Amino acid sequence: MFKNHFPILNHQSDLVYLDSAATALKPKPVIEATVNYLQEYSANIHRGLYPLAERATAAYEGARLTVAYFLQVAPEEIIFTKNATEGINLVAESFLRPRLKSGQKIVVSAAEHHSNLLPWWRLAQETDAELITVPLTVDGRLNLSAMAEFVADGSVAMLSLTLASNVTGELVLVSELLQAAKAAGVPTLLDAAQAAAHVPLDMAQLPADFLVFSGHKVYGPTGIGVLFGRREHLSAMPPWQLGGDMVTTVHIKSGQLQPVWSDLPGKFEAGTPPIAEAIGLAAALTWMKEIGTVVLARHDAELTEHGLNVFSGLPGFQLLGPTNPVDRLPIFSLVHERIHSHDLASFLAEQGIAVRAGQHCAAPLLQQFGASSAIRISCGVYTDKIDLDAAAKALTAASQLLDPHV
Amino acid sequence: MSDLYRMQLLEHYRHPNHWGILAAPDLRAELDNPTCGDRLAVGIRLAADGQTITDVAFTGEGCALAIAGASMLGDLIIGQKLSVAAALPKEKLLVEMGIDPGPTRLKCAILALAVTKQAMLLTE
Repeated sequence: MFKNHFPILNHQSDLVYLDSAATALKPKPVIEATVNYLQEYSANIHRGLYPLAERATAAYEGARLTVAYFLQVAPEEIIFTKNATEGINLVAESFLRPRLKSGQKIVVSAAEHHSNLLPWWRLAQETDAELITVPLTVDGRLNLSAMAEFVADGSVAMLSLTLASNVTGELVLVSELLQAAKAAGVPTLLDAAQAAAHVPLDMAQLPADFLVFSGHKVYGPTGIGVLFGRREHLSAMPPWQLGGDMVTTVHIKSGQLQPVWSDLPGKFEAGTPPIAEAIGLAAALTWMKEIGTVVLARHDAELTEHGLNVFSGLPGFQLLGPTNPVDRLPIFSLVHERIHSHDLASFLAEQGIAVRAGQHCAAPLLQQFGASSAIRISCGVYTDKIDLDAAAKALTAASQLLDPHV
Repeated sequence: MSDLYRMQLLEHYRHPNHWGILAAPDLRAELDNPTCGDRLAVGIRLAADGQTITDVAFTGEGCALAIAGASMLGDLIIGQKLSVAAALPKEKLLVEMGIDPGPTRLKCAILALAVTKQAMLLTE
């Protein structure tokens, strides 16, 4: 579906791209909006007093409005970052570090991407706090009731979890847990890096304090990400990185520098931001809205159901993650009993099929499944059922060729 | 059908030569390829001259390229002087394997060479 929106698929019509969970391909409107800025008005923002700079500023702040509309929040609550990873680091350093006390707990799930583990891990190490990595349930899903028990125990300073696993594809039903955390006064962060391309993110319905995602996984450019934070938190937080644009002026009194920080959201955007990328991201979100959430959801549901059908019965392979289509995204990770995932991926690459193999930056999750690595097939709007069939056929051929026991 | 996984390479992968653990090796080392979880250990036994390689054995876990590479490398260096084996260019092993693995898989293909060179360095 929509393959003709993607110039890369016109250039390489035989490419079977099944690595959208790593990065999504870019549709034409995104490329055009980005190139248009670079070719026609590539001035810096906020400071220029000439029409080109005003146009660039309007486009950059317009991109923020588009993102705010996408999340149903106020534009001051949208901070442009480099990616989801940077957003989590910002929250760990600027929000949690100043308030974290020795002995308090930071709660995450064992399914988290390394980017939602390591910033908290370092913070816990340095402050004598405790990082609790809540193990998954026996069927490999986030253990929400165990997380809720922690949240209620009064010593949790932060709860951070994914909205959708980049390995199992599990779509995590977070509403109740978020409500419980809110009632217990526990701040929450949602990692929407995988979910953002697949499910509507309405922050009126998701009572999280923070949410992050990356532009390049929602059909936008690399180098741009989004941090949403509730205004009361962002206002109270100290700036993280310091430099230009995040400060309105710097006084010198008695030889001492006295900076005056910018208002939100500028306080958290030090230096010239990724302007072209923000404009490209806005174009991506607008393009997704034009396709429509209903169409995207129906397409995802069809791919999920088809993927479960073709991959769950492949001889020698174990499909990780939920078996009910409503519980997951079209992200399929497979482990072969005897064949290394890199051999499988290389074999598929020779057939023109692009997939990911390895640990997917989620080593603790794979350990829970007793696997050292997995091959991952992940879908975008341009993915068709025949692409999944091609992958299944190639995996069968690969296992016949590469299984040392055959 | 596959340029990477030809019959000869697959034969070395399914039935690798020089696979196992040597009792009392003169040289040994272990190396990880952390990006994919591969891990190879090598043991090397030397002749009385302390220079000639008389036996090599690899063990560990890895993909087909890593295991076949170890098997073929063992074939190449047994009987060689340490100085010759230590200077073996990776291209020689790749020619033996009959592949051009590309930048991502190169580390897998030459993991055995890397761990062998490390074993030689550790004791030289």
